[in-house]
Amino acid sequence: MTLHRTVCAVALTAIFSPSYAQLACAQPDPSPTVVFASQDSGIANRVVQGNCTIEDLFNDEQAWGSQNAFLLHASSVSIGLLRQRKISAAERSRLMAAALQSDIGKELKVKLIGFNDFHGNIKSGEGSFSNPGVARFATRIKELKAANPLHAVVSAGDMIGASPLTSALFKDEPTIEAMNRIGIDFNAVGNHEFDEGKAELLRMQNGGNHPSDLFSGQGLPADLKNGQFKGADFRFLAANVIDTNAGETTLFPGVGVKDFLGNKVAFIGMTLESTPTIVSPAGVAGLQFKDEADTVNALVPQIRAQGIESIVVLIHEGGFPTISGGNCTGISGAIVDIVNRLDPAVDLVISGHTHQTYSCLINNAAGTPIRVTSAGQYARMLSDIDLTIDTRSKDVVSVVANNVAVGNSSSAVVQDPSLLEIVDHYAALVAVPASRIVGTITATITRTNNNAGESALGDVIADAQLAATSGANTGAAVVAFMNPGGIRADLPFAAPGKVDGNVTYGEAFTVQPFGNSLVTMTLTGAQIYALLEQQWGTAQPFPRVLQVSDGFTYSHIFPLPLNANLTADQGTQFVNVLRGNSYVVPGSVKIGGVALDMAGNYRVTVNSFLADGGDTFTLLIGGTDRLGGAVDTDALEAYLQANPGGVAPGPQNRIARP
Amino acid sequence: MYHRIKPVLVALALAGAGQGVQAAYLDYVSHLGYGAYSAVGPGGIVDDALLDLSVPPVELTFFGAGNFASVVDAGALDHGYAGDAFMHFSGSGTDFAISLSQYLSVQADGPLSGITHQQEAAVDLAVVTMKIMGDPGQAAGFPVMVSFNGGASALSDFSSIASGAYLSLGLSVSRGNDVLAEYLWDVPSSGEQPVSFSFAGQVGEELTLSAFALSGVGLSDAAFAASATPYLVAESLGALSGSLSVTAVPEPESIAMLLAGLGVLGVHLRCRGRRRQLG
Repeated sequence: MTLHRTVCAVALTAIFSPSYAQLACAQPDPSPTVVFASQDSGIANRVVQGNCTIEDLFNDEQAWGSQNAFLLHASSVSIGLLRQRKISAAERSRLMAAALQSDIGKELKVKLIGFNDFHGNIKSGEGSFSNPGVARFATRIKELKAANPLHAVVSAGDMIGASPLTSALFKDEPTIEAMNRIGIDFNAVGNHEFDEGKAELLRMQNGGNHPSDLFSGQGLPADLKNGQFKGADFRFLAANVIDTNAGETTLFPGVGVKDFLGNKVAFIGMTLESTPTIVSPAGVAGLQFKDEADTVNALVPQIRAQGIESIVVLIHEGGFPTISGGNCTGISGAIVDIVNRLDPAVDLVISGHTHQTYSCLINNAAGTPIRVTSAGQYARMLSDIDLTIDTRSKDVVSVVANNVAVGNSSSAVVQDPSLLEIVDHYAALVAVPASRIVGTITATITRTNNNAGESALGDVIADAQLAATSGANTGAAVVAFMNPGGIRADLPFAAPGKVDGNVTYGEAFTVQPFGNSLVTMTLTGAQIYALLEQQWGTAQPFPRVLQVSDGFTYSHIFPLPLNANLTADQGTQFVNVLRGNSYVVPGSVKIGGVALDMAGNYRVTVNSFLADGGDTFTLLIGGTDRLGGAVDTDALEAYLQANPGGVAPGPQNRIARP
Repeated sequence: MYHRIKPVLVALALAGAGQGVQAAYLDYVSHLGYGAYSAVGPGGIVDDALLDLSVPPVELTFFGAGNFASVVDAGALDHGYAGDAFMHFSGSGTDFAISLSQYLSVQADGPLSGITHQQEAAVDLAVVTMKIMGDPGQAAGFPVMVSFNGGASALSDFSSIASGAYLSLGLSVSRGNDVLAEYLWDVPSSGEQPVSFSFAGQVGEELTLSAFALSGVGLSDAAFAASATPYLVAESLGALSGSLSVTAVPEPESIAMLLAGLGVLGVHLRCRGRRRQLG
């Protein structure tokens, strides 16, 4: 065989032997006529090759990146059939007319799978019964991916940071490795990505072991690279984070692009502009955070200049729906103003930060409503979003979004074995450090409230937080408030495997598993009164009595005993007529015995969850002169260490209900 | 007349691939094209035009298909066409395809005579202007080799009663008024042909591609006896497709790679030949 004929045969084989040559057609399409989408060609369908019918040879069910791509396919298949005399030229004409009229390829459906505020919750049930764990999360993502091979999995920040022990102890490397196994595309940075500073965040992307932490690089061999932490296979995005040491460049690329059969979707990723107010100063040193909407609007022309018209914003900033679960009437929060200022070229906003679940329509700068989603927190929810792209204009023509629940730690969702392998690996490794002794207590300290709503453990935690932030350099706080829902367990005096009175790291972490950091801010006396009234505010599902630090005292006349936080089932007692009233006794609020000056300024410490308006304590969003501080468990450990004789249960004498 | 693949060019391509050289490519600049079908006969005049569905600068598409019936006294002439032309531009190559099929059949419910009919179809990418784009580091004037590799296929089935039947395919690439490469096939019968050519070019210059598929058939004062089944007068298909690629002309130090490429190719072909014999 001559060279000439060999090459010719190869070339011709490639051109005139369409892929159907490999089709087995175990179940031939039985359609009586050849139909493209809903367009009936009128041509009798029949077996033409092996078991394959004409209908089988045309891939009209698959996604096509353009109408032209489908027409080329239809043309070349029909050429082959005509060439083999399997169809007549007249039939080819009818088939091509139907192919053209079918509109196949004019639009393309792309599935986006969105989530936010994952916070390293890889282990089922860790921190909360409601946390399904990454293995269930992965199964749900796999199901959504299977529904459309054209997909992207994207995160709107806080994937890492403020994580439970199983991820946190290993510098959140377990979470990155889990996401690598799931296969995600982009993570916009959130404020918590900066908890440990720029260098550590860059390490999350680029890999390599932590320079000093011995718990780094402990992953399974398959997840490591050269024996070290591999870094993220996906891209971190940070469009509004400028590395001031590197000119005007952003810390990570601002835009990630994914190509779907020639239809490109640009993802602009960013964190909230006010990230520096809720992250410790060390975490954001050398970084500048820019206005969210301005950043997007400046990028839009650059993106469109590349011929990209489908634009999605991944933003770690969010809103507060009036009713949890997605009723968007009256949604509030920073996201509203941001979206109101967005260039109309933006097609979708995937948001986060507020840990809320919603799928809302908010007006852009042109007054046109665009879809804005958020999928709760801690792997519990996913946003299932279908974009329909016009393959000619390359722009998004419709967005349909649904938030779907992943399940909880006992739900029947199959746990992906590949992800479970990672979780089990780290859960085994964490067992020893979890038993480290961090301090001692003189008796079991419980979170059980007295009738006024104060618990012994609440007192201790608030005291620890005040101690960590009362210094002139650490915040100069005069009072600390702790949300009762953030105290997840009692501190037991005795437990299997430890000496009585010892407190293990695992126990401390179980009490405060969220890894919140402390935030110190300035409130006026009047704001503190208003804050206390929000404990039984109109938005509360049940009274939430903040735990207070030593020296802070007040009286209230809430008409029900508060020896437990009322659960939702008990909410019948907390009827609307009780909500939103003033119950704090005027003049009773004192610090160190001195009544609050309504106009005076006071330095107040709360955790980052409350500082962001969590548990509907929205008044704290307005706190000024913010300073980020230590992680809550570190504050508790320092407090225990500072009391070597053992910390006693709190006195429960700070909040009075006469 | 067509150019055969020159072995040395294959080896050059291998040498390029062996070095991991990223290929230069062709960028879309502009296009002018059309396609039409017309028929004149007992049923009057039929005119149809291909749609220009192009999405520049990535896709050029002309596409059309139609089926028509011209009613005569005791029967009908069924005729029609399907024609298209595609080009897809990307950094990894430029794909090209053009095709045209048509048919004519006569349904004679009773005896027919004096039937005169002529139908013609054309797909014509008259001028597609392209620019040779270099890799980073390949400034304007950098020498490259432009190659086309593909094939043509035809089905030419005209009954003896047909008149004025023709079918032809063509593809050419020009620099200004200079034709650099040209392929023409006036299809005498069904068959397949490889189509390959290559020529030297340089980064930054503009080239024009022209391609066409033409076909026609007719009846001249024809007569048909009554028949339960239609008379198939004509069925034709012409298709030409392939891809254009641009490769850097290798540096002298690549000669070793070139020779290696030739060697590999030779061994490969020998092996293939043996396998064929064994099989």
